[in-house]
Amino acid sequence: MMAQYIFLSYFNIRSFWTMNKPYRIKISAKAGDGIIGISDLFFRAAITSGYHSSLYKSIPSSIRSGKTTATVSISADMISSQVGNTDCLVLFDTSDLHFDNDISLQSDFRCIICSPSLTALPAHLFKWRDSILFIPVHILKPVSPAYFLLGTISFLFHVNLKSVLELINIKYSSGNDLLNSIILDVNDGYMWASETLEPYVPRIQSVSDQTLECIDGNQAICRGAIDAGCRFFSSYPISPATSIGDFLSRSLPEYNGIVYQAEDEIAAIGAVCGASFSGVKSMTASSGPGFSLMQEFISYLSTAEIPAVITDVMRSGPSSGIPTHHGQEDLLPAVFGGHGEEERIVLAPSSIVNCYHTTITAFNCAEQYACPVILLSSAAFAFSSESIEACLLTPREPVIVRKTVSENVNTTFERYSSGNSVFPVLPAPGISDCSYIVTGLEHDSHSLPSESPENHLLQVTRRIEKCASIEKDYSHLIEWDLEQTSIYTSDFSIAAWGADIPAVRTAVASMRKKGYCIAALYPQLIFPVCSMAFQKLLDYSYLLIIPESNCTGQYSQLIKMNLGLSPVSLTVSNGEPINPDLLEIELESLVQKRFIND
Amino acid sequence: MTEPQDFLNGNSSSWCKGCLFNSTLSSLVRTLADCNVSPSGVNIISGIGCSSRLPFFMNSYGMHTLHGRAIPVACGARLARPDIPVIVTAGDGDLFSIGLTHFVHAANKNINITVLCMDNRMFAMTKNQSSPTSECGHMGSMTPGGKYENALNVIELAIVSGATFVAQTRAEDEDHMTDMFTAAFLHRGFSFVHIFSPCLTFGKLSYERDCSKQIIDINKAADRDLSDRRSALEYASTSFNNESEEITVGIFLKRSLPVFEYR
Repeated sequence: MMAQYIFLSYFNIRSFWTMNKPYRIKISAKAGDGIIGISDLFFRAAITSGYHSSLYKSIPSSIRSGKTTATVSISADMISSQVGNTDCLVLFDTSDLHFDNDISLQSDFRCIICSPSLTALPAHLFKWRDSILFIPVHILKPVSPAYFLLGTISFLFHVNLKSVLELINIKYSSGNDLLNSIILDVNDGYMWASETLEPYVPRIQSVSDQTLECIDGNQAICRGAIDAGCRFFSSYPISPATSIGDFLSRSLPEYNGIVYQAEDEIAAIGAVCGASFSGVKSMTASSGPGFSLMQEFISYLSTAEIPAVITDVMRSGPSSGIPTHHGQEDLLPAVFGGHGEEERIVLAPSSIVNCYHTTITAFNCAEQYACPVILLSSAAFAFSSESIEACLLTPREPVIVRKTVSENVNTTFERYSSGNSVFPVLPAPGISDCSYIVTGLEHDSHSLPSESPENHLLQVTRRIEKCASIEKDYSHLIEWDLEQTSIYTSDFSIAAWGADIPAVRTAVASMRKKGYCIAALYPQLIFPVCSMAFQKLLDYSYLLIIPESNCTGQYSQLIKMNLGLSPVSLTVSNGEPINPDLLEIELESLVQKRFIND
Repeated sequence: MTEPQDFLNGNSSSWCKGCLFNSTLSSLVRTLADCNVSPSGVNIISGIGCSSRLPFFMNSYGMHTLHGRAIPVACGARLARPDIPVIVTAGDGDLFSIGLTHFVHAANKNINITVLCMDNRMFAMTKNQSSPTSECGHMGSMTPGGKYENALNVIELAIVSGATFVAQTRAEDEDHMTDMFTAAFLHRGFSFVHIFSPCLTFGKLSYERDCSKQIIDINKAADRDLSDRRSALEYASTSFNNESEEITVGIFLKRSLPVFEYR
């Protein structure tokens, strides 16, 4: 039975604000109004002002139309989810404001309306005037509204003006007239607020002794790839994966690595295939449509047993879909998208920091099992930035160094023998003195084409079974959260994957405070299915719930198909990351219904 | 010093008896020996089709990849390891039907790989379907009324795509083929050699027609500047003319331009 929950509206109002929960400021405007730029500056300045902060950008895929929103969260603690109910909504356009009957405005909810066209608050908004800060046209007209707003919200949230101005100086270091006018506008906004308003939140102490870094999901993948020894990257531009190529094209050459912008996704993964065979750890990255184009080569890599990492930064599909929006819809294509029968390793990071670690594990798995590894990230991570302590970006596991030379590598080398060791030898031209060919044709242990039925069975079985031990070999890919939980006493078990984990983690933590007993499993190993972990999870409760950002409950289907379990699937597919506050409501409702029915 | 036989692994070829691709294999190993390459220091990359079986008969590193995708794999191999020479052995369907995009872009980027087109003017492995280089009227199994369009002029295509070395040869002439392969292999940049290799199983008529044609070696017929792209295009315009009673062979173009991987 598949339950489905629906967002009440695109913004929701939280009724309280404590520094234990992040304070969320959501800025909404038409694309091109400059709010992504000021949100990024505000987010970075918040970090240097002592906050933990995160930024989630929801960008339209159209060139210059549609609505852009940026959610900046500030907190005294690490922020587990980049989205949630809004505490302060900032609007540039009053037509955007739809206070429905099912939304009750609480006293501490704030709304800021910057209107470059209106002189007074529209009559239909009067009843909420106590919650609304209206910045009218006569104040905004001489200035850039976005930068004036940046100054205003910097004052309202104790974000250091000096930090903001320093970041602006760095961003516009070319030193043109624009810089001076921007600085004036930000100063005006800050001064206006300080003369007429009180800050919205209490001042907090600096949160960390450690150096905080700003990083987004795609950058974390790049950092992980570099630390895993990746020295060749090839891709074709596609949202939301493009910035991986952008970042690596600047950073990989510092490590003597190569970035190659290919003519299409097929060429990108083909180049990765050639580079990896030549002895260089390699990765490609794409999103839904491009990932589909790569499927033939992924099957080839499986058959030829060439290590490679394929990152799919998932977006809302199918086809072109909503290219810049979140969705976790490529799980089944990642697992089953190939032709013929092959065992694919599919991993999915659970947070922005985990994007770094899981990328390293992906490279290790590729090397150990000599196969392609698919890394499923998401637009939610790609468009989210957060402050992290720099020390978190150090490998949690030893990096496997490719073995290219061995005493056994000679003209009689049996690359595809079932007796090979755990870490395979992968000879490379110019390094290993042997004659060696890879092929997508079924082949014998020496890699020569073979159509013998016995050999085909042997090779297919060997290729499928070689990664059967991955759940044991990489046990750190199975993340448990069993706080306040004991066997057989949990109200329910929950499992989540990928970019849905931050929201589930937040909702679970909040429900525990209300007394719920919950066993949570957050696997980064998606396929082969971590069967031992799910068996253990059922010891806590037979009510297993799997929330996920797709329509069809793909992970639930996979679990049902592989393990015969019947999870309750909670699905949401609206192009946005799961809202933990709404998820909590839905989970409570679901569990209470179960209790009544039981 | 290496000998041609050092590059042969002793596996008997799976091509049809008398197939001209055997000569291409023979010329290729002669080239590698002449250039004193080590068998473990060269990467032969192919796609899918009759010609693409060539790496299986060689004692070297090799990749038998996907239909049409030999060139992107070769680009990746070359960029990741610029110290290892890469040779693509592919057919006309591989290079100019399914894989055309890759050919154009690799040539335009001037990536330092050598592409040998073993052109039998059809899809022979699937038993005679028309390919981009099949002549107009070619009776393929999927074109019973005869192929509608003219053969793609791949020499012109290579030149306008930006290839910096373009040559044509015949599989019947091993010595000339070896000379062209050697010149292409030693060229710095994207080198392309088109080899007339009519299929003797399904393309006997085409082969017999070729046999009656006069062979013109453009490098002997005229004293010309090989780096002159305009002149190369003029010669190339006749290289695929079905009505011509001549087959033009030799180096059409040889230009020195910056190589992608050392840019």
